[in-house]
Amino acid sequence: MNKFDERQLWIRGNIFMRIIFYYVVLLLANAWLADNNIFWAGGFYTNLLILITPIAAGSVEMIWRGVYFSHTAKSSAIFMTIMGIVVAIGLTFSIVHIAQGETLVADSILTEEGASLILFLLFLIIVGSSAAKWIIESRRAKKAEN
Amino acid sequence: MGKNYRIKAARAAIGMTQQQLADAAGVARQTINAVETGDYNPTIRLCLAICRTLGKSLDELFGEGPYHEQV
Repeated sequence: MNKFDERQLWIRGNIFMRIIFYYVVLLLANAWLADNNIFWAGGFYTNLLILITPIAAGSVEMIWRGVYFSHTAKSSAIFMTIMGIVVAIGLTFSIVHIAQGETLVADSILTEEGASLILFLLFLIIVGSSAAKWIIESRRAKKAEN
Repeated sequence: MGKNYRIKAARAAIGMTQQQLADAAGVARQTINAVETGDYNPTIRLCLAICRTLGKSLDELFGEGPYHEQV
């Protein structure tokens, strides 16, 4: 069972509040831009990027502060490995499409390819942070044992 | 909040790592580290769990004294 301890719950609560705050700020900023006829991505990708960006930032903070997974979680490595594989496949497809001549930006608006590349890069940052944190924690644990 | 050297000393006295103390107290290792470094002020419930695990009283580990650095 995933069970967060008291410090983890406290920190997660603060981070969730920040995620919601930045989400609202991004929504308002996008609404202002749209009101001024400035569009930077297609409708679906605009919403997705506005949602995923603060979540990714919050996830990275949670990972570095050791509160992304509970201390009892057994499947965190499996979850991150699967996420890493999905990101690797997605990024490979993106890079292949770019190499085939697909553009990331057209008429100052992110194309589907550009938006999905940004999404995969955000997920890559989450997976990369998790891997780095795991390495640091493993070294600390080894140090403590010696 | 200052650093709590007494938990570290009590832990070291019985050869216990942060991870072992964390497992016994039912929290993450980072939480024990945060308590020891003074970055987190634990609830009375966690204080009692740490005291029980280390075989010390609340006053011995969390009371005011020379080994509890005050900032």
